[in-house]
Amino acid sequence: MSSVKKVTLKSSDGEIFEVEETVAMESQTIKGLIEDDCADNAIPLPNVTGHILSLVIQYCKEHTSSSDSNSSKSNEKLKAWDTQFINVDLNVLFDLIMAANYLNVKGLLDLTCQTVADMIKEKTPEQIRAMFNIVNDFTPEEEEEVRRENAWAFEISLKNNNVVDTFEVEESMAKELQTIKNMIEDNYTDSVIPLHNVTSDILELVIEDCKKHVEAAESESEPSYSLASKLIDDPLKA
Amino acid sequence: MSSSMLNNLPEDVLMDIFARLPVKSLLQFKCVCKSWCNLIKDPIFITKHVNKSALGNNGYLAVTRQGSTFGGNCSISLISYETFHEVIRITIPSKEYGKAPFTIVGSCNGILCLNVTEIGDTNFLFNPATSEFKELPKPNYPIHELKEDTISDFIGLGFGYEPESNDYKLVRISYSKRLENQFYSGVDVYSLSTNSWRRKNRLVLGTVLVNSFSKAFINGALHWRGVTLKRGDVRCRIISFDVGSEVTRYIKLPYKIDLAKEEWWPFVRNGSLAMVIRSKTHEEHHYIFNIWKMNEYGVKKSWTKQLTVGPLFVLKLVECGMNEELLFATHSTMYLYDLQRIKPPHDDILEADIIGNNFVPWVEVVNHIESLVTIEGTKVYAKRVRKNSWFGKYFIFFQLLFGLVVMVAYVVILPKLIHFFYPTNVSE
Repeated sequence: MSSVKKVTLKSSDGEIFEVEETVAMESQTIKGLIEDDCADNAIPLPNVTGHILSLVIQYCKEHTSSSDSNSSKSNEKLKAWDTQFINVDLNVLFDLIMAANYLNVKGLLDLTCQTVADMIKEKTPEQIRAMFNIVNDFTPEEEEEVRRENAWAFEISLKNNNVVDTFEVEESMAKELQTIKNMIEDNYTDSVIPLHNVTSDILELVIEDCKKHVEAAESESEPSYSLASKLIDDPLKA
Repeated sequence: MSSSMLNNLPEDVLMDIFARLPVKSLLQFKCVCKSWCNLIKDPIFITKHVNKSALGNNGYLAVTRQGSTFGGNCSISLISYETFHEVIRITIPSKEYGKAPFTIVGSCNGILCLNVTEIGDTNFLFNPATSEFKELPKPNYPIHELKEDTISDFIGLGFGYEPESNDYKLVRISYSKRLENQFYSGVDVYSLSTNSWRRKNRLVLGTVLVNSFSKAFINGALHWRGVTLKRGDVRCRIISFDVGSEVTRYIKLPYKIDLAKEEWWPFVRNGSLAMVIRSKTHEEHHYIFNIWKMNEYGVKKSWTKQLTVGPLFVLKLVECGMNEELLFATHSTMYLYDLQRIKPPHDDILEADIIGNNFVPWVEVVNHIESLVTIEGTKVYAKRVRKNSWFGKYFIFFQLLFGLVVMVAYVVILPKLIHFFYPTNVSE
């Protein structure tokens, strides 16, 4: 039991790779072949070139060893390795996706798909078309229709609502403040009451405090104790 | 190697990539090309996207806000689950009821169920991401003859999803009668797939106590706080209703609650059924909150006390965050209470952050994700406003800065201009 079992993989362009069985089994496709006893000779992989296959094997090696030796590689280190690993050009990235899909290597497929998703997340449709050479087969009217249906998604954000913070408060609360109460009673107020001596933050806190006092008085819902007794005494039986 | 490789990917891989994108990107990408548009509209993809979103951490808390004092419509606030800052505010697009105070009954797969009347007969479904709004038909079933303001104390609503039939259901449970020393309630079920209500022909035991929305949709069932009668004595139970099998169950509480001193509510915490018990203290309007979690669903012995907080000057616990953040509410104000910042004995509400102060009473908050799920509603225009962008926060600063620059320019450049145009002003 001293020798480690190995399998032979052959890429589409004829390159031969010898890998440990445990590493190769990261690929569910290869795992299936091994378990069905079809793996005595070299396993041909016509959909994967040598260059890409070597990358996939690298990935599998890194990820097998970490699960073997009981997290000798911490999660952060593995993530950092993944980030380094996936820093390849776009064509290689897509070849890796195809290979991970064909060979059914879940972790690699996750990593590559997430990378592409992060790449396209912030882009506009025009940028996407340019980046991936996609032909726009909508007529201008059709495209306009789609944009209109989903208008909010196309809005450029950062719309600020308040220029100067105005606090709209209920009269009952404003009256808690004697000054304002006097102003109201003197019919001073048809519009906003300007409070020059008070900054926004302080005013906010004061309003909060007044609110609490008013709320505490008015707000408690009927406690369930009395509700339940209401039902027990409910004259409308049956 | 042409760079149209993205489009050459097999469809299920493309779906995998798209399922990781936020709804906003997906809506934009619909107009990239027809095949992308069809993919994004595909119900199979939409389900994949929802399932992926449910696992992620970029959900929101949704809660309704009152319109402004000067007659605005009610709106929905989406609060980030990570920062507890309001991110977006969406006006509720209902012409007829817009100014009425809406409350959120529940949120399933990105669809909000909104309610406007306390007897639970006027309800809406709203997907803010797809701008679809649907007014549901009224359940034309009579409820108890108690006066409307009384019966509303014994009505529960709940919104749930049934995966087997891919159907969304709204359940209304209302007190019906007292018979042989026991309470009974009627159950009405609305199903989105038939767009109609149906009344169950058997009454269920017990009654919901205090108009409540089911905050706990877990294990395929809705849960309400309720009571049954036993030998003339009121017993508290969590009433659970499975939306698929429509079976009612009764879950016992950790101990016999003394309703004269304590209030309680069920909710979901970290994927388990939980409840909060609020006890009075010597100080008026100050309460202590105990949070319990049911480690094994339905097993009374598995109730475990998790946290004790207070006394606090608040009315109820609204929601729990991922990292021991608690949200409390008074009548219409919500406070963030971060246990990691506040040291024991955890009774210092003054340090808490106010999240907002004009929410619709009684501040019903739900967990919400964005999704593309369609409800066959009408497409409406719903005004959306982004909140708390850094630009907004410092807007006044920029204004002042701009003003300062203008002033400086005025002071420095103007004399030079005058000198330029009227050289005779310069004294020799």
